[in-house]
Amino acid sequence: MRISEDDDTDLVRNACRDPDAFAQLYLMHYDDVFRYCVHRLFDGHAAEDVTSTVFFKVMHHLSSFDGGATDFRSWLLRIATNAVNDYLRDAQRRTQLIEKAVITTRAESVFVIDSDDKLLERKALLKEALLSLKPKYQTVITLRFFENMKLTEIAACLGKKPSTVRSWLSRATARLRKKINAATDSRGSK
Amino acid sequence: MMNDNEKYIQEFVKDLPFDAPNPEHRDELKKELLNAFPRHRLHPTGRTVGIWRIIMKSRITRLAAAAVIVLAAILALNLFNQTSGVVWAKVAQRLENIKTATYKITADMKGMPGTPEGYTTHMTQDVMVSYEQDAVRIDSALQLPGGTRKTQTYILFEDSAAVTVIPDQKKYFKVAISDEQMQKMGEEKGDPVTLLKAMLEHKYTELGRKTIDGVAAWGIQVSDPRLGTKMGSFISGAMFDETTVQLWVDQKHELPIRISATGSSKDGRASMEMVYDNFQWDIKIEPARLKPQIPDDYELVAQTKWEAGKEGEEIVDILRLFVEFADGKYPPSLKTMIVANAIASALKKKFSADSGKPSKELIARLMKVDMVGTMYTTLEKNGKDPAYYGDKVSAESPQAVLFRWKIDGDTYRVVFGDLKTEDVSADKLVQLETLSNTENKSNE
Repeated sequence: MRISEDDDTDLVRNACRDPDAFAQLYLMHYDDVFRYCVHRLFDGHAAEDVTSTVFFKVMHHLSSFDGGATDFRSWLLRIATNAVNDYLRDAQRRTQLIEKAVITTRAESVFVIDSDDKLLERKALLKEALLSLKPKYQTVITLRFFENMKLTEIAACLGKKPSTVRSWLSRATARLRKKINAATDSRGSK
Repeated sequence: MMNDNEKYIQEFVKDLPFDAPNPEHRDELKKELLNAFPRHRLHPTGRTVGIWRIIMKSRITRLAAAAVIVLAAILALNLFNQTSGVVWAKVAQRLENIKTATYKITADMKGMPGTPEGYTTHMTQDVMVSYEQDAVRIDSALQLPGGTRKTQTYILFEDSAAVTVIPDQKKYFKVAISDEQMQKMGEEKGDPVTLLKAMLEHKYTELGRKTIDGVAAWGIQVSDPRLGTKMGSFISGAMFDETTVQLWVDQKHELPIRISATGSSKDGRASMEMVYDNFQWDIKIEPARLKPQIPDDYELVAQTKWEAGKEGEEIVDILRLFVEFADGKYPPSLKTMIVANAIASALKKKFSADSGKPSKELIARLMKVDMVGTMYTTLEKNGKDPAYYGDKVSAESPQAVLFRWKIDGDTYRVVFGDLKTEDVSADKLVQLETLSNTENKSNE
């Protein structure tokens, strides 16, 4: 049964004081947060760790949230964005993540018989290229192409003007394409 | 409209396979979240505002409550040392080399002196410890129905003093600490370090692995009312009858990530749930942040002295408050919360809302109430064989033994119901206590 936006707003409000309401809210949004994290990090375990961090932050700061149900999703994704960026801020961790991403994807190519090798190869290229961009560019790419959000929604989520997001998206896509092409050429020549 | 680059990326990411959400992680995280759900939010606020306002009208009660807040001064005086054990020894070793630490304490405390019965006070403390600069700073905020009370406490090892500033009221308290006590505190420092050693000295239970805030952690738990004074007043046995402490260590960095403590009195009137987290290690702390800046127009409300080796005498001085303000009815035990509640209640009855201003001397004596549990535990720890019978003896029993401790070799100092004292041998003490027990039984 689809619940109304008013019900959602009530649920957010009640979740501040009622553990059952919080649990319900958590279950409604767990998958969204995990998917966002895994699209940013390309690693299921890292995504689980960051998802945990996100919901602990949500639990501790929910009483300061005063918007409605629609705003809640933006608020949640903003927290997730900050948590992922914090996770990636550690340069060493970022390097390890890229290396791990490449290795595991190659391993997947070898062992997962039913998978489409081309898709996995494409995924490896994307990981390498995307994770090498600045976090803000990674964020807009993920929100736009994986979460299918409009510019205005991304702007609300990040607390930026739509014109700023437009500009970031333009630069991000140009740089990402360039990096993918370079990586493709590099692999093709090996 | 999408430009070429956007179209290219959209096409590129189409149908890429990603890990799906794992139901096991989802369920495990749900459990962890619900376990950690902030309990203070479960209590409706505001229902005791009226009572609180009435209580806070009394200047003396307000100060009695303020005296307990100075507990913060004691809280940060305790931390780590080396220990045996495999993983924990490493943790202790790592902590030995830490130069600075900051962390947050969040607590819900029921039955704080001066609050309505059953009322839960929410408290947060931001603690900064610098082992290099030999100083500790604690910024506290107590959320009460009448508003938030903020204090800053500084423990200055070089100056042998602890200072608590209340900026909103332009007031401050000062506790001078004897050289001997300061040296002891300096050795023990003051936070999660001694805590680890104290926990390992007691019988502890391994809690295994758990994910805390997304970090893999290992934990131990100690449930022992004799937890030493090194653990800080709030979480030591000196404060409550029952105390349980859990320590969780970040598996990767081998440093504490969370400490949680619960305490309660036997009668259930006072209890506490406390969490230490947000630990940061070896961050730079500007020296100026660890020194109190007290403007000229701030009033020194009271100053007192905390001397090591005179715990017994100090306890007698605290008991004298009950002769003066509680008709000689002594607190049933010397746990800090029990004594603080009993004196706050007595003072509330004794002083009307518009009674005169309490003297600085009285406030200084009230400040010592914060230390009573620690003092008693110190006597125990130092082999002074103390015993207290406030649950059976009042000022109306001048021949009965109220309190005693060993002062030297075979000699005990005995304090009777009327607070007169006598130094006696161990044999004589047995006779006095036997007589005292007989009298108490005949009075029951």
